[in-house]
Amino acid sequence: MMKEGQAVSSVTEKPVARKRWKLPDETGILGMLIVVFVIFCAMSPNMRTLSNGLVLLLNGAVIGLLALGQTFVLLIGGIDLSTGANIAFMGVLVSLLMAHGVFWPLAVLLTLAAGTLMGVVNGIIIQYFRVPPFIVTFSTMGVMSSLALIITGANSISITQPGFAFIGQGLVGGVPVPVLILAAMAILAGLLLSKTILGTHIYATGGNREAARLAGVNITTTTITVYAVSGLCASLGGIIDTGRLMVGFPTTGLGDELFFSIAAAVIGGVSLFGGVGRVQGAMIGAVLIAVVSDGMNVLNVSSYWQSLVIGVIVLIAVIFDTYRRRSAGVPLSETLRSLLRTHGMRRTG
Amino acid sequence: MAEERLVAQGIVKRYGSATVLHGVALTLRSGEVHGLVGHNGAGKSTLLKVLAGAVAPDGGTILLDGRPVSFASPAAATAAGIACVFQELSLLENLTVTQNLFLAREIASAGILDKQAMRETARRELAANGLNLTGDEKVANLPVAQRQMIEIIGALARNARVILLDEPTTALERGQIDRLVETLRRIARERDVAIVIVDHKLDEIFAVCDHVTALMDGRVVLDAPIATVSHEAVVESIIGQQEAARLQAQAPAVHATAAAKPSPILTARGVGAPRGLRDVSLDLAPGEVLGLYGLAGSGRSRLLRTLYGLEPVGHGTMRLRDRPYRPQSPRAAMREAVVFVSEERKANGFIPDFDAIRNCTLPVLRRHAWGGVIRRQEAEQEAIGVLERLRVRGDIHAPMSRLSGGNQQKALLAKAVLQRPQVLLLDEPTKGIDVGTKAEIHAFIRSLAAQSGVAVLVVSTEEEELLAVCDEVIIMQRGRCSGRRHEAARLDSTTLRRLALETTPEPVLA
Ligand SMILES: Nc1ncnc2c1ncn2[C@@H]1O[C@H](COP(=O)(O)OP(=O)(O)OP(=O)(O)O)[C@@H](O)[C@H]1O
Ligand SMILES: [Mg+2]
Repeated sequence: MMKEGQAVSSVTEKPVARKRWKLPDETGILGMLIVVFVIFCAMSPNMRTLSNGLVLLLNGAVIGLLALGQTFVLLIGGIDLSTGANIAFMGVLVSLLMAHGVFWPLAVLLTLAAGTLMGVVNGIIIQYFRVPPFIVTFSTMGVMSSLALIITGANSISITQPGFAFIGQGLVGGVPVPVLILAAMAILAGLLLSKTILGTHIYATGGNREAARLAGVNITTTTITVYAVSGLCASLGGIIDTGRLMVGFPTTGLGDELFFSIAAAVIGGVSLFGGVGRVQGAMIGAVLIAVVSDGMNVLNVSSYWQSLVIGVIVLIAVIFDTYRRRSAGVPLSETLRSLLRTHGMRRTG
Repeated sequence: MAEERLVAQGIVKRYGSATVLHGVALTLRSGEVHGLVGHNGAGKSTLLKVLAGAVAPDGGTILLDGRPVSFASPAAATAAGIACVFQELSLLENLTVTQNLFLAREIASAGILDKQAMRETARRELAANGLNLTGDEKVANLPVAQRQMIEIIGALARNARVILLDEPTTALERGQIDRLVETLRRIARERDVAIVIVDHKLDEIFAVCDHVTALMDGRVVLDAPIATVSHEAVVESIIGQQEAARLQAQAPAVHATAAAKPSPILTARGVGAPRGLRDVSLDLAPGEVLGLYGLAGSGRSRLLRTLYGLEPVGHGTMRLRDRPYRPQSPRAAMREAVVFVSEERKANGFIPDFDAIRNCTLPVLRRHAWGGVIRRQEAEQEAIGVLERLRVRGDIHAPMSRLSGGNQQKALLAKAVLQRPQVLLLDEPTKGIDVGTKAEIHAFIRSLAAQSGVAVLVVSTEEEELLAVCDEVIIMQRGRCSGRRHEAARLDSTTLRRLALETTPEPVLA
């Protein structure tokens, strides 16, 4: 037995592939989430209530959904800037459909289909016309946000079918429906990425497009799929936002949503360079952003500070991601040490 | 009975105005291994890419089992039963070994992966090919030789009817190559597949092939059963008659005598590093070419990377020109005139969209600039000189990514030389370089040492190469090197291999 191992190791570089239990990549960010949450809780008793917890998740649900879609796109090394505008347009669309007498469940399905189609269009332009995703989705962002205004004449559309409120305001077992939708989508997405052929091919496409193509991966399929998923998630976000307000606003989703959703994915370890990251991470990132927003609300900090704080968190996360990439395979402690060393902050003694 | 599995006829490929393949014909028979040889830039890789659906031909027909086929994508070729290992390593570094082995042919039902089945199959295949891996490793963390093996295993395991291998052995060592030769012959026979292997090492071609085809400038110049051709005939068809004659006439390298050697410029004593280096001592003197030999995994490449500041030093001392030397980065090493050519072309970091000339002049612009303004003409003249000396074939004014693999390697050597190194670290310097140019490059390396006084340290898995180019050879075993020298003139490949396997510790340098 021993002899065999030795004979083999003479032709291989590593003597023995040690089996080592590794912390998941998201450990760091989960730790950060817990620390931030504990600090807020210590500062305000209101933060500690269960109802606040649910409000926090409810408010974070749409960003979570966008982050989910964005994760797919980032994984192939793309980006989708059109998701915020997609929310505005899809919110208007679902409202208009209902205003024209379409029964709300059907309106929802049609809107989801439209969102997915929008994503497919993004994907097709990117794949077949070789236009960089930044440009394509930047353009569709403009188109969608304008269309939302043009169709409505910048007026809001009120919704008259009370059943629709269930999607935005309903509770199941005390948990808000949007939170449940997000949870279901996240689980599905996680399974898709980790358990299916398509998931592996998405990672492959993001790892190295040309190598993946040469290996026989259909990169057209993966590209179109990820943008479709992003479009689907965005339309779901538009439907939820509309359901919460029971009014279709042509400007919903045009605020911080896009920025926060990309931030959530990146904070959670989804690499902007493609090929690396998991749904779990993106969801932790989304919750972290929700906690920061909510905590600052509870503490009565001006909302002007929100983007600043989240901006700083993103920066830290990306710096960390870059270091991790550079020292792939090196344990976390080592990475931290080299971070400190290169910046002359090595502890003495 | 060897039936015709794949017949390609009149294959034409043009890139812009340059025609790379002028109506090439190739017939692959089932159960046979087919060798494809030719000088750098002859069109071998292009031909394989056409057969593998990675590149669309401009003319010609391909018959697979008698039926005409045309592949719109590599996926289509894969589906038709053609597997290919391309010249440049093309594993996905962010995926695990198992994921790579099964990429685009995953074991799944209804799209859901059967990870357990894949893991078991992968482990079995890896073990059968002498790789001690679990399959769960990220490819990014594996050394080049293992990656190359993994690609080959992936192609062989595909149950393909045609297997195309473009220089599959460049990073492998003798033992692995022998085993591969064995495997290829067996697979061809047992599974009745047609195998093509592109290789510049003719002994491998003769060991494994049934049939050989030589390309020269995109035309077939030799196509014959291997039994009917001589070694010389093949060399001649690769590099032309005159060149072959010249090569034969060339005197064997004169090795410097051990006597009058200047004091070392670079010394290492008891150097160790966290991953794989334990205890290395060596002296490297100006004007000498020192070989570093060892089995895969002995830490040769790691040592060079450490000397170049790519990996941290754990313990021990290194001195350069009698001053302590501990480079924190390649930049720091370069400032000390230490230059490294890695065995991984991609890691050498040329800029694919810059032409070869610009890539070569990039690190030396300061020398050709005055107040930040570059005297481009002067810089380019110098670069072109070296590129020609190293016989780069292909358009050196076009983006470097368009050069053939071997020619990229030559350009990278040129880039290293242009930096006027005092210590030159070469890892597999002639990887993928054709027989004609190889001798040229050996002579060039020797003249760098003899005439410019450069201290050269060469790592190579090819024993013959070390014996041809080096004055002396030191041996590495499992991360250790005593620094004891063996005179190249008194060695042969067998002795060298034996030395690397011997486990008795050698006396360590004082
Ligand atoms: N994308 C491209 N654009 C333009 N020219 C190219 C391109 N790819 C290859 N070439 C040219 O085609 C010719 C043949 O290249 P190919 O890679 O087939 O050579 P090769 O026989 O495989 O050489 P090597 O032994 O160096 O690998 C070369 O002159 C090369 O410069
Ligand atoms: Mg080639």
